[in-house]
Amino acid sequence: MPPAPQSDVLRGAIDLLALKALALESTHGWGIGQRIQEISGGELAVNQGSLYPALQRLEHRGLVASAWGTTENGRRARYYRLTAAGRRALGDELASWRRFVAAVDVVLNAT
Amino acid sequence: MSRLLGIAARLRAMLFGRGADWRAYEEFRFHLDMETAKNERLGMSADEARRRAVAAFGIPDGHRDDLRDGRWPLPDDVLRDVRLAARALRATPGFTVAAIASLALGLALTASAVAVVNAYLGRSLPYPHAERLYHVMYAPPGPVEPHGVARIDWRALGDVVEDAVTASSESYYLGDDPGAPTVRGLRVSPGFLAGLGVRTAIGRPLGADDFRTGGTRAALIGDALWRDRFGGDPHVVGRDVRVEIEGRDGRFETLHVVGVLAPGFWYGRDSDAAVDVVTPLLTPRQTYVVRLRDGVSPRTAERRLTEAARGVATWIPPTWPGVTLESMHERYVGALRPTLVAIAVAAGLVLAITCVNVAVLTLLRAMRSQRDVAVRVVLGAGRADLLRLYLMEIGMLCAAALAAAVALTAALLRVLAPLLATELGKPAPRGTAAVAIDWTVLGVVGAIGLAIALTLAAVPALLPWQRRLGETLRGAGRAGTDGLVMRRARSTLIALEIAGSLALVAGCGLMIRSAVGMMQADLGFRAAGLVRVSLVLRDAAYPDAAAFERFYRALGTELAARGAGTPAFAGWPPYEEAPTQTVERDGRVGDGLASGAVAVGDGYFAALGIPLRRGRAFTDDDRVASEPVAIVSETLARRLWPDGDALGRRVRAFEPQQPGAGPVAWRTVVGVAADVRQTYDDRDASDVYVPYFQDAPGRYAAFYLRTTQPPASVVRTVRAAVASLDPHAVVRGVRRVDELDRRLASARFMSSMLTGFAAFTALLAMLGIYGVVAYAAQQRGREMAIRQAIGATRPAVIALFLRDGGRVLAAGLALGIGAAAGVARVLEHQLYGVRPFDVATLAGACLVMTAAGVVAVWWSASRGVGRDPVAVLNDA
Repeated sequence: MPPAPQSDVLRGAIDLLALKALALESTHGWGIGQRIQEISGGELAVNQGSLYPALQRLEHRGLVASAWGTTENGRRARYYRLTAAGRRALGDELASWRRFVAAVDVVLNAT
Repeated sequence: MSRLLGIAARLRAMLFGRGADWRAYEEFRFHLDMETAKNERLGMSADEARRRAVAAFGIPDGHRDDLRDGRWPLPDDVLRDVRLAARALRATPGFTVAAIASLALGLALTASAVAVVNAYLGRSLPYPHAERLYHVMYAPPGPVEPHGVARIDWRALGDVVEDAVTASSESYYLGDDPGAPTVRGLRVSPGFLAGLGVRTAIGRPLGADDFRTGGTRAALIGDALWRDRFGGDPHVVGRDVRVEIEGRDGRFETLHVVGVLAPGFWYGRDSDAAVDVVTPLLTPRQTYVVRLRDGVSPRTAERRLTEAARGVATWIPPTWPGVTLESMHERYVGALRPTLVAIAVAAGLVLAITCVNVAVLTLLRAMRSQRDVAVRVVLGAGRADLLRLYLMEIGMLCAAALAAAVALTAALLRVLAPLLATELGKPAPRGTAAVAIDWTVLGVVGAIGLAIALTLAAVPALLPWQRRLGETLRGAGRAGTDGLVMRRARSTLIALEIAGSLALVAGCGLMIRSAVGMMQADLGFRAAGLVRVSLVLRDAAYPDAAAFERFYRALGTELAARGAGTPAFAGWPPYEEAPTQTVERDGRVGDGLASGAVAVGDGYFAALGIPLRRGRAFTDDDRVASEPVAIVSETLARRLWPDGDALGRRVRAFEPQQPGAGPVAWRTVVGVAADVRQTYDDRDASDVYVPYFQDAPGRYAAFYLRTTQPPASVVRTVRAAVASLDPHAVVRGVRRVDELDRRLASARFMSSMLTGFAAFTALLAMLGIYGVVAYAAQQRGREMAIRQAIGATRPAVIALFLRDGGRVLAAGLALGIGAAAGVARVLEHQLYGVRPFDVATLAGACLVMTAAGVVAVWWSASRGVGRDPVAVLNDA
């Protein structure tokens, strides 16, 4: 039984988080997950596997690029980096995310 | 850029789906290992660490499916369709092979024709802006040109003419020894270099300084000469070469090589005319080629040039129409156009018939597979699925045919291109190698292939498949299952095939009749067994005509002694229109007749088998200094002296338009020869012959030998004989005279090509008819069995099919007569002795097609109609 499709919001959030993590440093999939966890202080322990479809989506949109590389302890790993378009998209999506969160906040706080 | 990366990533994933899965697997494993290691560092046991890692990751397969969903949906479906289509095509191998093979052949023929036509007509001459290069014709072909037009001031015409491409040919001997090779030189104007964009591969082109007189002469050498004589030496620039100028014995010139021409440069009659040496032209010469300024129309330039010529000419012919221009490209290919167009039309027709035939085959196959289709529909296949599958089949078929056609074309052109250059008499403007598959050819053929695929894709629109689904499934094979639309479609396609084939068969008939007509035509001389030898003398040892005569007579004796026969000298070859002159008879001066004039040696009439009607042939005694004599043809004798004997009367032939062409010496008629036609189109057999040595014999000579030896051994004998008399004389060429008959060769070529085409298309038409009748016989199997059961004989039943087929055949033939008229129009210029709309030929072609059609129908029907009606009825 395949997992239920993620909601668009969640999907967008993962994309955004991955972009943000890659903006700080180019790294492999696991590294991206760790970075998100570290920054959020463990609050955002997303289903780690769902990171990969997100990365593929971003790659197909041309926002990230990937290539095989070697880690410090000599293991083969797929490294991701932000493309120029990815850097631009991060700015745009960040802005629209903030607007979205603010809007949701307004609605939820409505008495 | 990033977008491109993204698309590339998608394409990669699409094309290498398995690779992408493997990548996901690798990534997941790496991730889990890293996570496990981290958990272990936190103090968990190995098992626990792994378990937690997996839990945190989620279900790997689910993620992989997510990844797959993110890819474009192409691979799986398309691959499945490809597999299904391939299986379906394999299930009907006869259809598949026939369709691919005939389409490939048709496409290859068309591709070859496109390549040839494009190489000759489509591509420009290999000079920059070649479309602005024009030949200057100071007078129409034939009449004499105005005199003194070499002095036209091209700078004053600068507003219409950009460059005056002036050149003067020169032959050089390289070195002094007797066997020194001759090379082709050109003295050229600065306008030649600019107008033709002459480039050098090594060294520099000629500069303005080189055109100043005095000092050594700067020269560019051709690529071939550079490779052959200088071994491709890159340091050839700066070397001096001593050459002797042919025809001006003892005049040597030192050429200072300043550069090597870019390979492939040519100038002259055809693209084989490579130039060996280019030197500056220092004396004014008449200009025959100009490059017009951009935007100047040839008409304007003609007007200006005519004015300029009128201004400087010292003498102008009485009826001078003015200067005309002809595009250089047109001059090159103009005469070839009819043949090229005929080839293209014939190839196109073959392709069209091939397409129709494949359409018939596809239609039949689609109808046969209706039951199969119905099963699929019942199993849940939608119309879209079936259509997609069908399109995939057609696509694969056409793609395979296209690929095979390209391979076939490449092979075909390699053989055909040199053959065609011989056939047409000259290679393509950019050389024989340019007759090849290029982007134009690929583009055109690809587009045709696509058009065919789309047309074939429309076939299922004719199929009434879902309407009678149940009926089809029940296996109802009764008459009438077959819709009217379908029957009409089939009949139309078959009629079209017959029509196209008829047109080709008729065209082929016309060409064969032309070729046979030419072979049977009595031109008045016998060419078989004759070789023509041409010869150039080099030495200064021939001060006058008598000296030349002594050499040529000695050569005759020498050749006879060596058993090569007696040479018959002649000033003009057969199969070419002889120059005409005006002939006057004694007593009627000023009342001239146009007539061909040929100088011939003794033995000429015997060698060419031209009978003498009266008097004598020329003999040894007709010499430079002896009494001027002439022989006239029967027709000319009749026209000059309608009521009397020609022998002993006097004539003189001269060119009246030539300035200073005063009265020439009268010649006494000593013989009357049978009429000869120089060419197939020569209508006027008025000819006057004068003794060869009384017509200013010179350095260039040609003679005929009647021989049974092959040309190669004749060359050896002639070379030895010539060398024994004059070591400096050059034997230029030995050719069989019947090979000079380009017209017949061309007719033969066209007939054999059209025969091949016609046979192929007729075979296709028969195949189509066979298939259609076989299908109808199967469809109407029950009906036929019932007819037989109630008393119809088997021949009577087969006759039913023949009657139906006859109607289609008649329609096809009627259509075909129109198409044949079109083909005949295309061939019009190449016909001889038969009119384009020739009833006998057309009737013959109709007969051939009728026979082919009847055979196909009868063969197919007799196989399809069962011998045992009871068995058929029980089966159903």
